[in-house]
Amino acid sequence: MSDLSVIWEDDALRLLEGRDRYTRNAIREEFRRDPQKDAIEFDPAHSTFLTPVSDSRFSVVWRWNEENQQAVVRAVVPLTNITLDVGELAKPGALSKLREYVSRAVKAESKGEIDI
Amino acid sequence: MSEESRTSAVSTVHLLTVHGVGGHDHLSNLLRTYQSFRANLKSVEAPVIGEDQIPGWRLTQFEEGATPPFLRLEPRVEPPAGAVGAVCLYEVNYSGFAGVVRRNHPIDLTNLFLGLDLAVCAARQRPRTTTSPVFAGNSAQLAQCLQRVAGVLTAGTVPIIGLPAIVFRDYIGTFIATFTRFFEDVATFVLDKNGEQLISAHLDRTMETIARAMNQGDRLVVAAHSLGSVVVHNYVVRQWSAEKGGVLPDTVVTFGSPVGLLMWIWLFLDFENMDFQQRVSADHYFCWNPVSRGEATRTPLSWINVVNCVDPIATAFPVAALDLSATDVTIAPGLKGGTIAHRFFGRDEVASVGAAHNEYLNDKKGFLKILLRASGLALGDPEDVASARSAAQHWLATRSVLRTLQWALFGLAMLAIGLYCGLVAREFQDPRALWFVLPFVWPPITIGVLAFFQRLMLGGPTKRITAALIRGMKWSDAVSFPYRLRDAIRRSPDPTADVDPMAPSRGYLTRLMISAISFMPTLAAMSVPIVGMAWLTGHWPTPAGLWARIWSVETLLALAFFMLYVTCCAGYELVRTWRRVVGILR
Repeated sequence: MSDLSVIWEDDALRLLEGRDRYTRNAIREEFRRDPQKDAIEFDPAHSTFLTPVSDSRFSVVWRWNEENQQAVVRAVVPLTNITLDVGELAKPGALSKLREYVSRAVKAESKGEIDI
Repeated sequence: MSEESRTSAVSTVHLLTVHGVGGHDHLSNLLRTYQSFRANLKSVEAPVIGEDQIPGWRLTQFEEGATPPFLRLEPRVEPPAGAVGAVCLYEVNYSGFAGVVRRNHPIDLTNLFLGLDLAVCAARQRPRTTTSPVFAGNSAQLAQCLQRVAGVLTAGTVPIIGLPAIVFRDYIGTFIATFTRFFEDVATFVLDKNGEQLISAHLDRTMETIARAMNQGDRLVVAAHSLGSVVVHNYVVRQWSAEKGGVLPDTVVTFGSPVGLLMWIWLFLDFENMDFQQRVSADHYFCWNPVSRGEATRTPLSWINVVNCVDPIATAFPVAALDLSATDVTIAPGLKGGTIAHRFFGRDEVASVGAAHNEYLNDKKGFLKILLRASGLALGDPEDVASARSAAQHWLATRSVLRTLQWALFGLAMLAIGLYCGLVAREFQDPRALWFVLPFVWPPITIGVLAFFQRLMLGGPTKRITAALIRGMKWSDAVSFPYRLRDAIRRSPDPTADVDPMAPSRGYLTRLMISAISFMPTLAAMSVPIVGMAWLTGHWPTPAGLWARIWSVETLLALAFFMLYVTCCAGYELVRTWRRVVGILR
């Protein structure tokens, strides 16, 4: 169990509520257990991370709120094309490409409501 | 980045699943693979969205009429450049294909099993060392096991799937059909040159068709099950030959694969001393020749082999078994990491024995995870999916389950013969009939006796085994003795007389009569408690009384109990042998 407290933003909750109860529970429980497990910091400037959950079927996009020591969940999306390989992510341009992809995916999933 | 350039930069993964044994059509297999990605096929309830393993993908195309038919999946959100932009699922099924070949040219299972039994016996009696340069384990001990399996199959055809199968066809028809189909399919590829060439040509054409649909940067993944893995192995090895230059998959995932088993049997039957350089000069048992003929530069492909616990034919084969004509040093550059990644999954329970062979696509945590990753439908490297247990634990668990099953079968056999003798006791109104359980108490004896009579009554020369070869077998060997005895009784005036390959086989009525005659030993065994009780009580049944009894429910029940007993004995022997093989190879 992680010491981090987890806060879900309303828009993220709406995305989560759009899933069936099995998926909702799996995502919530797994993320609550350890938000940092296999997490990728894809936007270091804004302390924004991505954590694959539920057998990597979904990715939780969250921001680290240092002041309150909280993981603030911004969105949850099924991402099909991310790499979890640290070596790959260290390559030049990899993070910006990922950032662009995540941003686009979140925007599409939330129908333009969430802007990462 | 513009939308256009992003689209052009993505790649497509082409996933071809090659199925082996089974009785299903093309479309059902293609859809089954897809459905297993999106639902729990083991649940009888209609699926819910939460079962979907690939929620980020949508089905965009279904080409049922294409050759081969395919489904196309695309991500819901357009992927970044360089990523997987689509996955095409294809399917070929060589069970249906083999079924057509066999319908045109039926083969008789009794002949098939007797031929195998004879070939194993002949190979076993050739002088050899006890170790193979390719495979682990004591070859002589493994050969004994193979002989025992051949004996059980030989013993089983008439008393188990012969006449009783006609009587109980409404109840055991599906089992008999699956059993028959399995061996026919295997025989079609490894024993029938026509079958092998037709199937190989079909796969070559399928691969070419898929290759034509591929663009630069696309990947080809082949997932092959059971006999399909043998067909794909053969294909890959042929492409390793310098003369050929077909498309090679980037990833091969074999599951429930008998490649190791067949390569061992091939090496054992068709080569002196299990040495690939010493092919026997006599007639070869196998028709195939899955070897490369050149030293072509090999592009490494990733090969993952998945083995389910208690899958009776799945093996974890060594790299050298992929291509017996080449050394490890030559094969290794053709494989990613120079090796095959074996993964062990499956439930270690008695209920899974046998069924484990068809459970791969239902294994969401194991095989399916590998397949989804290999095809780009899930995140991560397929090789990073760890086995549920180590190889040592896998074989230990297998042995443990088999031990339980072996004794369960023994118990069931005893119950069946007890019920049979109980019916006799009821008829004679004398519980002493239960004493006659004793002669039937040891399954190896029962199966051994049945196999002996099958060999004696039906085991003559075949297209692959000459009369001269039989005459060269030892009298002192328990397996070759009935063959020698039969040969001595029926000795042809012409010692060089051989089976005419162009002559038609016996007609249906003759074969039915032979089946009836070869059922006599079983009938004699069934008579033991009856004759014994008649002798003990002095009440010998009259012919009229016997005739009236034959057409009773009790007789039908008695036949069912005895067949159950023989089937359990055969199962016991197969499981005992399987356990022994695992013990030798462990």
